[in-house]
Amino acid sequence: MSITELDATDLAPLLVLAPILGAAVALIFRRMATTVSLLTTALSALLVVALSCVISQNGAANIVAGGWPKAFAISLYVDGLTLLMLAITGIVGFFVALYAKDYFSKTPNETFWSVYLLLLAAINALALSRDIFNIYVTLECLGLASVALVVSEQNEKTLSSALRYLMAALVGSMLYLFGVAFLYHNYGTLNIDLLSNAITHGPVTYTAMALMVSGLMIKAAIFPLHFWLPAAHSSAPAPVSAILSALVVKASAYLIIRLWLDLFSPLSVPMFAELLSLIGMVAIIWGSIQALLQTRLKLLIAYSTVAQLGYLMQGFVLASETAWQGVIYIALSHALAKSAMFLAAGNIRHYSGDDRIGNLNEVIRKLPITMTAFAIASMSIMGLPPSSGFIGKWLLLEAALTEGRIFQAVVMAIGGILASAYIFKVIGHAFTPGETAQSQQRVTPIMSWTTMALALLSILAGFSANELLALFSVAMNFPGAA
Amino acid sequence: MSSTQFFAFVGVALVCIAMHSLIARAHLLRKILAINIMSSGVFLFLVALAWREQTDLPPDPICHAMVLTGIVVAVSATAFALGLLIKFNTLTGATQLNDAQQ
Amino acid sequence: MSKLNAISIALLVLAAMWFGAMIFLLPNDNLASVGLIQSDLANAGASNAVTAVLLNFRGYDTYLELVVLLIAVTGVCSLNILPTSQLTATTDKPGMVLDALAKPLLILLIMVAFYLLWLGSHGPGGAFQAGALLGAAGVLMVLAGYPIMWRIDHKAVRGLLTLGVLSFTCFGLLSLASQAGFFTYPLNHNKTIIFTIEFAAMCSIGTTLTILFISTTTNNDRHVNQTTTKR
Repeated sequence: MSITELDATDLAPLLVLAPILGAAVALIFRRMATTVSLLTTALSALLVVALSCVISQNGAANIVAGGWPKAFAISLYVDGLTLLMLAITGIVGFFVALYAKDYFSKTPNETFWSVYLLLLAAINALALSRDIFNIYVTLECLGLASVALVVSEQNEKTLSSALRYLMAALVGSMLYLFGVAFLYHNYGTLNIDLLSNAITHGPVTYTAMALMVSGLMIKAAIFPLHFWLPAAHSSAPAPVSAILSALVVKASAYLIIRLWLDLFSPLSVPMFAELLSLIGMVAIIWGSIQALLQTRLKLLIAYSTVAQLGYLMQGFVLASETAWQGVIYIALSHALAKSAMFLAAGNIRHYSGDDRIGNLNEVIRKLPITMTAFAIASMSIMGLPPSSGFIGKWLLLEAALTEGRIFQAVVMAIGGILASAYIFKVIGHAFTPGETAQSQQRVTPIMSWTTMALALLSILAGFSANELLALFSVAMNFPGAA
Repeated sequence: MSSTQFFAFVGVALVCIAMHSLIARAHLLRKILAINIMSSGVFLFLVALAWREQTDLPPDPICHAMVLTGIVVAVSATAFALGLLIKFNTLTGATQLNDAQQ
Repeated sequence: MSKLNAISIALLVLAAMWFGAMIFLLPNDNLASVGLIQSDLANAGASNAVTAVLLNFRGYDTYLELVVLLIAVTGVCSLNILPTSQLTATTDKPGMVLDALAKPLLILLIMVAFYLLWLGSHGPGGAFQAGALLGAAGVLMVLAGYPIMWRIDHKAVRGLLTLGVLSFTCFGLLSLASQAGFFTYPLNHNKTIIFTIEFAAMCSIGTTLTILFISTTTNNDRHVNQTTTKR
């Protein structure tokens, strides 16, 4: 069967069903758990590739679950932005699963694999959903699964950060649901397309919008609601940190963008866009400075995520096609690069039992692939050419300059400089010769090479910018200036 | 104020009371209960307005279904939060999060 | 601390007033979807509108909701709150009253659970209400000292936990394979499929609630319960 004969309406739901089936099998038959999980993540990645081919040929796809009228049934929808989320989930999900197989080989956790697959299913379901209540359910799946993964190693630190994370996630989804309740009682439907046709200016709509967006901002750790992120992301085991930073916070940021572009677009509230952009700019500066001040590698990477999320908030006010393409590219490059960095940090921690930046010089000789991968991934975070991060930041800068928003451009440039500063702080320590540490646990070749693969992908994504941008912009109607 | 609007307002009030408790109280059990009450408030708001008095139609089943779904989700979340709290308490003996720690 | 209290109260009173005012701005006429649902109810496979929405019109939500339950129970079990050695049946007898009452109560609970499951197709009831009763039955069995120290270690228990999710997943896969469309019920079999899924969901929910209770209750708590019942 050739790829063109496949139908998006069959492929997209499989991205939710397959991981859930895999999770159930992995939970019941524990001996097969690792094999089943690896196969499932590989299958999901292949499904995304097939779906991308279909969508790029046939355009966006709309699937109504159950075939009932859209007014009350749940719709799924695939367009370029959905594909972006599905693609990073497929790629990062697969490589991190490979990594986790070796990382957890000494300390097996019986339920890790099923929760991991359910988390991937939740992200896919969230990306596909076109129904604001269904999105709430997927958000709860995602929140609980993330917290369950954080506590796959149990100590005081992971438990306290997990509790903080869980409460932040629950409050976030409750605020979101409160907003959904207002929208439903006002417009009588939950479907995003129907809502966006019906939506009008008014206090109820604004209240709903404020509630939904602020709830999602807590979950996406947008400054100043990021208080739970550094602890949760740095205390979790490395593969989990990678997934949380690369995918989970991005899923909520994706929703903010999705709701903004598709649901609230007829409103165009410039005040709100300015506010989001301002918050983003503070996040860029504050997150970068905090990252610079950290003495532990994983905390540094976690704060860097707070800063990088600030860039994603810049599209709202620039609101041009270039700006949104920049946002898409930053999301892509951050997912690949940040997961590589967390995996590298995991290798270092695994090897030396410690992730203090001052002690890094002791591991460089022993972990050359890991450190090279870290350096390569850093290029994307700093925005150096020819990495994908460079393309994203370049597009955003270009958009800011065309709009004449010099201040925004300056802040983004400063963010880049600060990023170089905290990256060189790490790399500088790593490349000073020092005495070699004792190996605590072996870092397997798979662990090094998965890290390298993700880092290389973050660079390679910079080489095919035109093709990728075309794919991830399918059926996206980026609005003009807000 | 009709009775449905009254119940919806009670739901809103519950959300705000719970939010206060969440902000002002440090004990984790109180925080978890606050989140539980907050979700009850949202559900009450959602289901109270399912019936619009000025029509002959039955109450909206979608609201009921949403609330049923929400209740199950809230139960799961509460159970998981309580499990975490018990484990946290057995490991550390503490009942609140230390704000200074990272 | 008192300053934080005052600020929080002031802001939240304002918020309550704002949201309260919004209630009066909501439209008073009928919700658009109510009429639509009434007209589609004949083909839904359940004459009770809420069951029809939960299992058919918006069955996908219910599917993901069962996934949330599964994640929660897996998460709680992975915490290992009790060491495995403590999870054996207690030898103490629960006391005369509970001992005598437990059996008839259990039978009643299970019967009512099945009644509610059956009732769901045409009245208020359904898998979740029935599952909650089964969960209550499970908790009662634990408290009454029945040797059902169910743990996630038993493959059968893990099978029961995933039964609801699995049946929904199989239905989803079959609906795709038969080209009917994602989560679309075949019209002539919809009642059977809905009942099967509801039955599976009920078993999963009951097991999940029991396991959640067992794995978050330490033996100490259980002992306190038992001594109070003795008195």
